[in-house]
Amino acid sequence: MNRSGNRLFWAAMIGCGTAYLLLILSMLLADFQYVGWDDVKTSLADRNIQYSIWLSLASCTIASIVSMWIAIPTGYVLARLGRDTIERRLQQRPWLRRVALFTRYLVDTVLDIPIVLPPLVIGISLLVLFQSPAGRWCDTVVHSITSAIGISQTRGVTYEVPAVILAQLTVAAAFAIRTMRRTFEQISSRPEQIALTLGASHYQAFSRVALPQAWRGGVAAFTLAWARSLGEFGPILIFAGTTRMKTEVLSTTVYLNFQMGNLRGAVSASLILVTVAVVVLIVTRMLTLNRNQRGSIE
Amino acid sequence: MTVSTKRGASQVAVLAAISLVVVFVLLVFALRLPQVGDSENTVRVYCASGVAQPIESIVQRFNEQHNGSVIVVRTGGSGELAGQIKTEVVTGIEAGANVYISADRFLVQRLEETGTVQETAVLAFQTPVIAMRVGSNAPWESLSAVLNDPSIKLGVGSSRSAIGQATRSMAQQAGLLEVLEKQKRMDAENVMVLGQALVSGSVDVAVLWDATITQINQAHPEDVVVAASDIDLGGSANVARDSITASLVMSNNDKEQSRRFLKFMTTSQFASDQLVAAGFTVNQTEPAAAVDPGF
Repeated sequence: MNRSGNRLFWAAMIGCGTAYLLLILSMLLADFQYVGWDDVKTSLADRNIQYSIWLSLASCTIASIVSMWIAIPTGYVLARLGRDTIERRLQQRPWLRRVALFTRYLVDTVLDIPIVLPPLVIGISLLVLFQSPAGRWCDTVVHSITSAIGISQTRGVTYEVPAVILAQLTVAAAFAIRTMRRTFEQISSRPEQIALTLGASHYQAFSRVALPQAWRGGVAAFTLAWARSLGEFGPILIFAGTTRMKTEVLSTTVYLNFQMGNLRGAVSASLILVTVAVVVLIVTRMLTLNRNQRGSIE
Repeated sequence: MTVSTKRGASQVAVLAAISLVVVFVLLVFALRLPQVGDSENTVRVYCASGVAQPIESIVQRFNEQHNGSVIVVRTGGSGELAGQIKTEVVTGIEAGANVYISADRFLVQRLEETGTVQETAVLAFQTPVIAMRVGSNAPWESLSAVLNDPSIKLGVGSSRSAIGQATRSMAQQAGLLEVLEKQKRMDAENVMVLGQALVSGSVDVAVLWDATITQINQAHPEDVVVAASDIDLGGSANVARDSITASLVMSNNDKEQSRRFLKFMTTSQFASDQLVAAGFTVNQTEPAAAVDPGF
């Protein structure tokens, strides 16, 4: 009875996962059946799609690196100034402790807004932000900088390539921060405290002790940010537009082909998108696995 | 400890510096990709998705012949684009639309009334038809026949889209609006989304523009959809025929260049040929018996 109960338990657990796995594989199979290799080759030879592939690769990488610049320090601060730390340090000052806890809760919530907001809202908010005096000033600064380095085709941020990157960054950074915070939370702060007692500065304790331990989480955060940027569409549609050979990234190509009645072109572009995403995910998984785990796969 | 700590700290600094260089190089690379021309004088076009295909060819020819700088910035449903234009006018976006090409003349009329667009010119006409996949043998000769068969999966445009309004206008005239609202399985945001639903088999029948059928078939190696029939409304089948219009947006910075483009679209033989090839009707007068659906 006990053995059959265990079997049932494992069958149910594996069955749920398998059903979802089958759904994903069926979708991909349906895509592959709908278009032939010739359609994908035709798409790859298209100048518009070549442009969107290059722009996707560049913009996603920029957005992910900048996300990491934001996520590593922010995630570290959120992890080290957790509820327990605040309560311990401000034990004697209850009023200040309550303010600090509320502030931390508020910051945490605000940082999660890009994750929970509908993507279109982020696009609209960015669009409105860049029409404010500060936004217009930013537009002018970007135009001046790009002109100064000989790139006259970029006239600012809105509806230009920088808008694509900013739209991707806004969402990707939130995911990267969440991952880095979780990573630093799982790393004990004790070795850092020991380093401090041995005379290291806070920066040294962070860079020499905490950061090396967080590298695997860092790679995961980078991958997540990259994958999120690649799939980003709503904010790009509103804030960067869908101009062919200008602000067209792979997700936009799928949309444009669909809008033009070219379902085969849309599916081909989707398959290119899936291939790029899968390659990046596999490479990252291999990088983050330790030697023993990699050996067991091989 | 001190030596290794210093090494660790400098490793982080080196990593940060490398990432900075990578970002800079990639940024320059992305910004220097060969883009379509854009300058202060660029005419930025927002184009209804149902007419985007021929308009892209027309834009290309205009730029070649007139050394112009016209780009299609956005395609989408007429209502969706109108909403974006209103937002741009309200917020004062400088890089917004200059020309709005719409498949919904009532929407354009409303925008004209508020002064959002002006100098509207009619480019072509399109007529709603009942469409089905090639190979479907069902006798869907009229809208009432479709609505009388509850097993048929019918797709229509949403009431925000031009095709959805035209469909409802006709159904209302035939006294079938209530049945249509009950019977429909899909409310598509624009006609191309509806067309794709028909091609993929999500719906059996859809009310599309005649020009949409041509464009969908052009995107496939062989015909995939066909018009089953005009919508039978007792001799007034064209009552909901809609026009494709092009208008100047109020906040237009360079009206002269935009006007030149509008003139090219309305008078050149090339533009006319492209629109006809995409299944539109050109060179006809505005239908008189048009009904404002008022949805």
